[in-house]
Amino acid sequence: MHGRVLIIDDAACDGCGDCVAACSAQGVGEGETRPTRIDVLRTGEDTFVPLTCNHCETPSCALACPTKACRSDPDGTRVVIDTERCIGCRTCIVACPFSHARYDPGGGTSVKCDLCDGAPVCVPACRPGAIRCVDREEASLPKRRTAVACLGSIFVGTYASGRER
Amino acid sequence: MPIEPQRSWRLEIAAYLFLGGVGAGWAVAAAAMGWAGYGLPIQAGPTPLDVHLIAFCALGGPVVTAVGALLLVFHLGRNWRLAFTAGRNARTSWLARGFWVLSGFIAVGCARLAIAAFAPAWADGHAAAWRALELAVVSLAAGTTVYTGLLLRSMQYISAWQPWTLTALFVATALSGGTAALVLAAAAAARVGAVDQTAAELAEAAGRLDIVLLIIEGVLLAAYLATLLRGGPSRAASARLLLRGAWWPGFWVAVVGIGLVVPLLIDLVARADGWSALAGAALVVLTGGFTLRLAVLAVGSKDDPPLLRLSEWRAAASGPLAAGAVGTLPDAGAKAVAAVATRAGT
Repeated sequence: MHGRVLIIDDAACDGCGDCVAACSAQGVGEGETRPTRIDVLRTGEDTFVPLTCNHCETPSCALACPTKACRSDPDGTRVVIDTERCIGCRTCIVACPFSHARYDPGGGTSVKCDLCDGAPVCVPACRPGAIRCVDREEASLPKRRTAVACLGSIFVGTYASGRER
Repeated sequence: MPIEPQRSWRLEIAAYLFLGGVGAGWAVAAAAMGWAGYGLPIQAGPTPLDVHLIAFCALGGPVVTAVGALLLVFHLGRNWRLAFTAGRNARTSWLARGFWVLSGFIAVGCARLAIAAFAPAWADGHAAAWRALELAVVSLAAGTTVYTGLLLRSMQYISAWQPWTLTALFVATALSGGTAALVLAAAAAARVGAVDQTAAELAEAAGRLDIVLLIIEGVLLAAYLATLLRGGPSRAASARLLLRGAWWPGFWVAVVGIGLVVPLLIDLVARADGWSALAGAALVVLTGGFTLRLAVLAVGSKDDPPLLRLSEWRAAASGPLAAGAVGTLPDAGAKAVAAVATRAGT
């Protein structure tokens, strides 16, 4: 199950914030909230970017963590924070390029997206379908297709302009 | 995306870096002065209390670093776990490496201080061991001064902390702050009649060394600012915050004015005034060193992530960006509460 990743299509996001609400309400009691693990940034009048942990292959948060509380899963598909080992130094927050991990003042530790152990609650909460949870292989295929299409268009453009000359 | 400074490391971390550096700089400066023939004779006090005081004035650097480390402990959310878990990831984490370097410096330095204060005869009887301890303390102190700059440099997505000139600047300010602390310590030691002449000579020599260090610090500060101004958007944003943004009073008044210009003026104009001028110059040097670290932490901005740039390009293609429309959704907290209520209802 942990071989799955979140795919975010920011063009489909309408900024409703339901993913944030679902994440904040996950695993806590009635009427309570927890620090959200996903944010929605408004980057223009009608453009939004849901931001959550990218579970990087070489996570700068894990490299900077002094206690190894922040680390990649043994199979390398998730980056998690062990709150039993975290000392709350906030180095992971400073080290992450997206400042994704955040400090939970209540627990005195850093927290971050752990993909809800394979069933992220933000996915069913996202009505426009901007957030999907897919197998890692499935996620990389569209990226490779896009890259090939881009390279192809560049090549065709160059070839065509050469023939015109 | 607007480039905003980080907010996770602030006052406690600035104080940790400052006091860590000053304590280590004090140890290095005291050893250098001792090698140059200006050391305080630790057995010269007529009473045990005087011996303790002279020992602290000569070797008190590790205590200052320990106070700085204590401030880091206060910054931690789960500080009681520090002793069990910190330092585990020394292979990649500079904070963990710092834990070991500072722990070593504090432990060895305080042991040496305790011997000087409570068993000074042992130092005379074991000259080789005493010298070995001194070399160990100076090596660990030098490592501590460098570490304070390297910790920030290890945060690779904050461009303003990447230049080597900043690391060198932190080393220079740690040494100048440590030398200033040594001047204040010499002023305290001079109250003991038996060493007042030696303490005055030490303070005079340390004051001269501090002037050289301040000039080096000024050159490095200018080089660092030039690097920021020639850098990309996030470095330029940090430079703007320092030079004419929210941090301009702290930078121009406290760092440049009080920390660099005033001590040089005191040295030129009022050096003949003796202890008051020396102590005054030392205090303003320390004020400048602390404010510099606070300012550098406060203006450290992250580079714009590529994902957000992509989103902005898309937005630009579909129409002009709305000014001031960037930011997190304001009603997310209220929605979360509503979501919990809905879930409870179903």
